[in-house]
Amino acid sequence: MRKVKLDKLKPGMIVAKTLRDEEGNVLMRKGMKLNGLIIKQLSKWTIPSVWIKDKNEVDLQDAIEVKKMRRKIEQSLEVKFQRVSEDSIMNEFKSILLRYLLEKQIR
Amino acid sequence: MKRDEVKRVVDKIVGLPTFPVILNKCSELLQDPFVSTSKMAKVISKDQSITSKLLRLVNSALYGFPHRISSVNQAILILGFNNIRTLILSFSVFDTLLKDNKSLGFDMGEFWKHSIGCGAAAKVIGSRMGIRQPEESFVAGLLHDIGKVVLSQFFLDDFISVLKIAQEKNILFIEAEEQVLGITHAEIGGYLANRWNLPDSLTKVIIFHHTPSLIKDNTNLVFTVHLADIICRGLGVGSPGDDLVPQIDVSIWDDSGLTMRMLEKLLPEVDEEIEKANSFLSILFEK
Repeated sequence: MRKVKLDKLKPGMIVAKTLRDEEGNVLMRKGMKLNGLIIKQLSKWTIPSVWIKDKNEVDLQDAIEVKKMRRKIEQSLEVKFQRVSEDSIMNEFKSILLRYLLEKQIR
Repeated sequence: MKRDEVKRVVDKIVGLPTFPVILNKCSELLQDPFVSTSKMAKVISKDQSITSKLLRLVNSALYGFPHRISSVNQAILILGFNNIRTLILSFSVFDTLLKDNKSLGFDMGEFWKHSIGCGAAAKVIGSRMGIRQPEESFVAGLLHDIGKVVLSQFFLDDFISVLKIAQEKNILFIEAEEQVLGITHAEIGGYLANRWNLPDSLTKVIIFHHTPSLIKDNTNLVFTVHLADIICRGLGVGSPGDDLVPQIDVSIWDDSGLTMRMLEKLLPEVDEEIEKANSFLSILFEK
């Protein structure tokens, strides 16, 4: 996460900290992707800089999250399939389910 | 529990007057090649409870028709005689088995979720297996574990011991039944289906959904439900009484023409159909 000055903001950057006005009203939520219009609006609000997420930081967090989910689904499938773990068709079915359930959660 | 005792109870259920009066009439009418929609609708409309359920169902998210269907006549025209008959059959089974037995204090919610899920999954798989009546697949999936309903409604103590053993030993419900009772829900359900004269195809599903290779011909519907059950267990849709995925019958799988790749593509469709089918439950339980 780094502080980026208004004139250095570029479309596609991700907001790392929720931005509020003096009364506490939310101007921009954490996780929001910047675009040209938003950057223009920021200059109208005379906001000097915005906390932006580093690209690697985003990927890393997501990867950890996905890995956790994957482990959880894997464990529950392991229990369900324990009696048929020798069978190749059932193993194939298990990996299909893992892929599908993981994708469903991420969506 | 003795086999004779089960048979005695099942015979008693058969004796209840509400069961398939309409259903028998419908079957008779279906034998007549010249029967008209209006004649059929007249017979069904005589039963208010079934008529109201039928109309609620065809107007539910399960079908998602763009216009309101306001008469039995219309419902028959849209869904066809055979599909309507199958739906009425499932209403009758529920009405008869679940009569005044809500006070038993056992939560069957997860069980019914599994049954509805199997119905929805069977509908999707059945269409790939060449089964022409989608409601036949749906109701076959919905009712395949009807023997467990008999157990839970008329032999609650036995039902609970089976559940307990299945959990403790981490075995399938049907294996626990063999150990505790010496008779399985497939046999009990099959006995009931025979006594009720349910369609032969449905009776076969009830008896052979764990052992589809034991039947020689017309394996499609039985295998469809066998697979639907395995998919729902894998996806974790409700609970059939244990938390295990049983073995797919490999010999029938090999002959089915299905591949795991195809199955993978069907999964989102199965989920979508399950979502739609959930409206079925509230309609079935309405008195």
